[in-house]
Amino acid sequence: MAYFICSHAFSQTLSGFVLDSKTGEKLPNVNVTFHLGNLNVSTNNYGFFSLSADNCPCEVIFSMVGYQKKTVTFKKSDLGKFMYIELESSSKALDEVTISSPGINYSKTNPIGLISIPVERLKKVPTLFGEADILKAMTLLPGITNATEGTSGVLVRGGSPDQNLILLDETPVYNVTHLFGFVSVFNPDAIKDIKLYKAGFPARYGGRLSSVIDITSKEGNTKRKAKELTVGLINSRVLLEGPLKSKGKDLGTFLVAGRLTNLSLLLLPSYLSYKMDGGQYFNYNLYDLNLKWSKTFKNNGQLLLNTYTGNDVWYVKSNNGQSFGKYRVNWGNVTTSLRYIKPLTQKVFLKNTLAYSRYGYGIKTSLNEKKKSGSLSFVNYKSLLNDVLLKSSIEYYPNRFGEVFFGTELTSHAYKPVNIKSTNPIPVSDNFQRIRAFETAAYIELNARPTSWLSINSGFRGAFFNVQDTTYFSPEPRLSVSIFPAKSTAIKFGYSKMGQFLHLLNSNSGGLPNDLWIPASKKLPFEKSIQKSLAITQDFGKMYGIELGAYHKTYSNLVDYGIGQNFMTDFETNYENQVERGGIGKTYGLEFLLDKRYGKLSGWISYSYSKNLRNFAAINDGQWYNANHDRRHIINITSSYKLNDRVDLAANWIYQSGSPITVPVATTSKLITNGNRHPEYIYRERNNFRAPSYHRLDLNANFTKVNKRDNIRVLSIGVYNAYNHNNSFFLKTNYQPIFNSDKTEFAGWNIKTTKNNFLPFLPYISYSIKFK
Amino acid sequence: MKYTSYLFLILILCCSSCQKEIDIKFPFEGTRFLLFGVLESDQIIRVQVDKTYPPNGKILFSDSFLDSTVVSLYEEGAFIETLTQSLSNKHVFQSKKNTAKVGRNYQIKAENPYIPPASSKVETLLKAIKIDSVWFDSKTVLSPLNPRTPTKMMHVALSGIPPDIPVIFFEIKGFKNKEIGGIALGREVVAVNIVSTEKYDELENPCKPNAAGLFFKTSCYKRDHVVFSFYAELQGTLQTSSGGGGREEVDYFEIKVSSVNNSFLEYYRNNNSALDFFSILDGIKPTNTAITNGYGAVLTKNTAVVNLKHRK
Repeated sequence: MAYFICSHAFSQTLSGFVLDSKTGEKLPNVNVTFHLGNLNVSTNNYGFFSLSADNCPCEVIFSMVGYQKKTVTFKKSDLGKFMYIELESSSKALDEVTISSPGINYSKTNPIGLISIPVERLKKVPTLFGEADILKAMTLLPGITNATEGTSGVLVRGGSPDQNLILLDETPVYNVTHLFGFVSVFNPDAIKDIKLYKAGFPARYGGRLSSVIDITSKEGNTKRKAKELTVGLINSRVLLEGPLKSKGKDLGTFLVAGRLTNLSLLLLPSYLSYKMDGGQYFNYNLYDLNLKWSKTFKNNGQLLLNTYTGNDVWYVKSNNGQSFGKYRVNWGNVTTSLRYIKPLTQKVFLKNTLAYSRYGYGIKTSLNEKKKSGSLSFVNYKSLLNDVLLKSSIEYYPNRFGEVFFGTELTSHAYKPVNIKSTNPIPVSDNFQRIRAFETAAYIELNARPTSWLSINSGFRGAFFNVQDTTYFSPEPRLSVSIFPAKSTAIKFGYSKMGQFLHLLNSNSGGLPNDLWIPASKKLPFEKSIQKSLAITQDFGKMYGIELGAYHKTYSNLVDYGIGQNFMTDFETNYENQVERGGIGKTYGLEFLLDKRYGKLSGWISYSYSKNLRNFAAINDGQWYNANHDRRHIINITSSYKLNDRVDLAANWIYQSGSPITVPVATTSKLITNGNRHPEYIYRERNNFRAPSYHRLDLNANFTKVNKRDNIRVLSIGVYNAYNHNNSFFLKTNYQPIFNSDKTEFAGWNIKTTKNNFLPFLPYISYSIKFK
Repeated sequence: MKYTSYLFLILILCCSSCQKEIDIKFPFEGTRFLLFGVLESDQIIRVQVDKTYPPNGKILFSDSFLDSTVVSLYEEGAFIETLTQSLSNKHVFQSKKNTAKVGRNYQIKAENPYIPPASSKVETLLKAIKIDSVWFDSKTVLSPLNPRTPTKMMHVALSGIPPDIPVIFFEIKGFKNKEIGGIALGREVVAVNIVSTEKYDELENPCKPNAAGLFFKTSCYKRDHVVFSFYAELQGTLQTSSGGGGREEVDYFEIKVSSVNNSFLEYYRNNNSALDFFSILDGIKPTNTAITNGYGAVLTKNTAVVNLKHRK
């Protein structure tokens, strides 16, 4: 620290914001570099940069993927002023994903574990039903995968979906799934930037064990009003943004991005049939809405108000003429953040955030007698989680050799895992009292670049968690070191200790909504992990880059569903006794990435090898076993090819080793006859077998047309699982009893195993219009 | 709330789905003994013996191994008898003379040259519980399961539950025209739902570890006097020789209250379902066994019975 402060006294500063020239959006992650010399800084999430400059006039280069490089000559008189630098987006650059920082590759300078890929590039990755989905696209990178086919439960380096800290504008989002996980909640039209850390976590992040996914939404076009409409197979989207002015007075900018499902239209025939003939009918509604308002003041301060709300509703109605029944499941998130950011000086940047996050899901069943008006019988089941956060942090840029970030965070959590209302008598014990918990964290983070060949990010985070009569403290040292032995080479090392003060009770990993979030408690201490990782990055010119990585991660205080427990249907007041606790885990692996960044053909090949083990005293007699998410080999090949200005093609090929499953080790001659006749199986160890491997090819073609009014129309045609590989979503056994020759005696079984796939060859089409 | 499982299935079925048979052999752990016995007070001791088979593929049962199997009975740790095969059922091995006695400890062992030897836990036959009284409320109430079925509250009062009884088990059946005194047994009226008032529906209660089976942990109740209350539906389907009959009123209830051992409880609460979609959601549990080197359990059960006529 003394080093930074002493250096401060002798340096002068260039500082300001970097903006998109067309939209006025502030740009994060822009490389800011002196023309002579290879020390550089990046803009923060709000587009702010601060660069110490001793000898001006000087030339500074601003560069970013997807934008034309800009060289600006600063005079001595510019020192001490806030500068606004505009970068021009290049459609060519977007397609080619140009890396234009001189001699420095973006992936090489990234700290270990950070993956930052432009949203535009992620949007081009073919996904299920042609719905652009940045979260799913991220799962094609090494070390990241999804829980179950089609779902958006993200698994990072063997961690479970709850171990990801997912931040939308600095606010945690607990359930990122729409449509039972087939679509993520993040509307790609509203997203400006996404960063994913899988190792080397900076001290400013905490609260989860396995990853940080930091999503920044767009602020809205400051220069002109714009609108965009997209009609897809599953959803339709609309985006409106622009400046707000009244009588010439600047009232800031706004952005409204909404999505609405088309499924109700597709299900209209069955609804009409239900209305006419009765019977049964189901429907699905989902929506999400991003609202943003921001205002920049003359003192360079900025106020940002952001709200996200999204909800899924699935219901079944039945009508037999006598009674009317309804079964309804809904879940959704609401997040709101109010942020005030301001460069206090050229070297000090202030960030304040007040945020609210709510996640809830509910199940309601009701039965109405037609002749009576009131509800005869109902059960209404709800689970809620509310967070209120207050964050304050300072970014201090003393000189060109580094930065210091420090801050505090206060979070008030309120959990209500189970709340039931019913016409039937409900014991009081079934309705949980609200559990309140308080989390306090403080951190300090030092970015140091003492020489041209060394970069260090070190930090410490201390977090307190108070729940009921228990207080926990989690000390979390962090270290990330990058060494640049040659201009195009980086060797990186990372160490992170992480704590997680909440547990997710679930019986599945598919991103279903019925997950129960519960706080750490006296009986269920907070989860911990330590990760060490190593990576070597090598660029081959500007075109190609490779990264080799290795990691080792240990876990403690893990929980898992108890033997024979299913939290989808049963939850008890003494749930702490129903889960397996005190589990430990270890994950280690190797990762490889080959990235071709631009050219007509661009894309990447990634390979991950990992071993993911768990150990609980009460499971498998206390022996280590393969974790649910253990996938030994994963290969992803993602490519896009620009045929001409109007047509671009994309393809993905994905291979994954099968995941561990529990299968029987024997059967008996007993014929179970409760309902359907089936064999009595004998099960022993959990996850004693590996399901067949998974692979598929996805293809997509985009046809773009710009009309006279400069409206952009894009027709997307694609196919999911192009060669119709029968991937197993689950294994099932078909069994036939064998009888003796005179068919009087049950003499045996013929048990055949089938793999069941529900996403075969699946063509799709979508159409979008972007109005100018 | 089980519907939550079904909705996901329906979603899957709405998407185009397909199946493909694959040639996968699940790992077979080798043949093991299956031993299952229920020891009841003053009843001849009987044990059902079988063996396990591979988990998939074509399996043909064989009982020839029973000819070379020796099943031994131990009481209070000492060998007392080799059980003999029943003439009517080769799988049943029974005592010639020994009946189960209250308070005594029993163990069963099985041996065969080709199967690893197996033995049960040492199990104790527990005392029966006294049923003080059983009565119905006069008013009808709303059944939590079938709102339109006439239902009354049934109360069963117990007293003097011995401290060594871990679990009590209720079995309640409804009958049509059941005569007391042995003249006629009547016909059972099935699908008569008996639901404890202690918890709604399927939300489990740690004191009632299996809602469907009506098991209750005695440690949760006052042992000197406790009243259990149930919703008793008064209508069901008459069981006939040809299958189900029409809806009938229940006029007699048979209430059995048994003192059972822990193995009894675990055996009934841990029966696995088939290997299918729902097993993914439910989480598969290891097969419960109270047999070392094999599967099954020796259950002990001592039952008190009360028949009660229901007056409209």
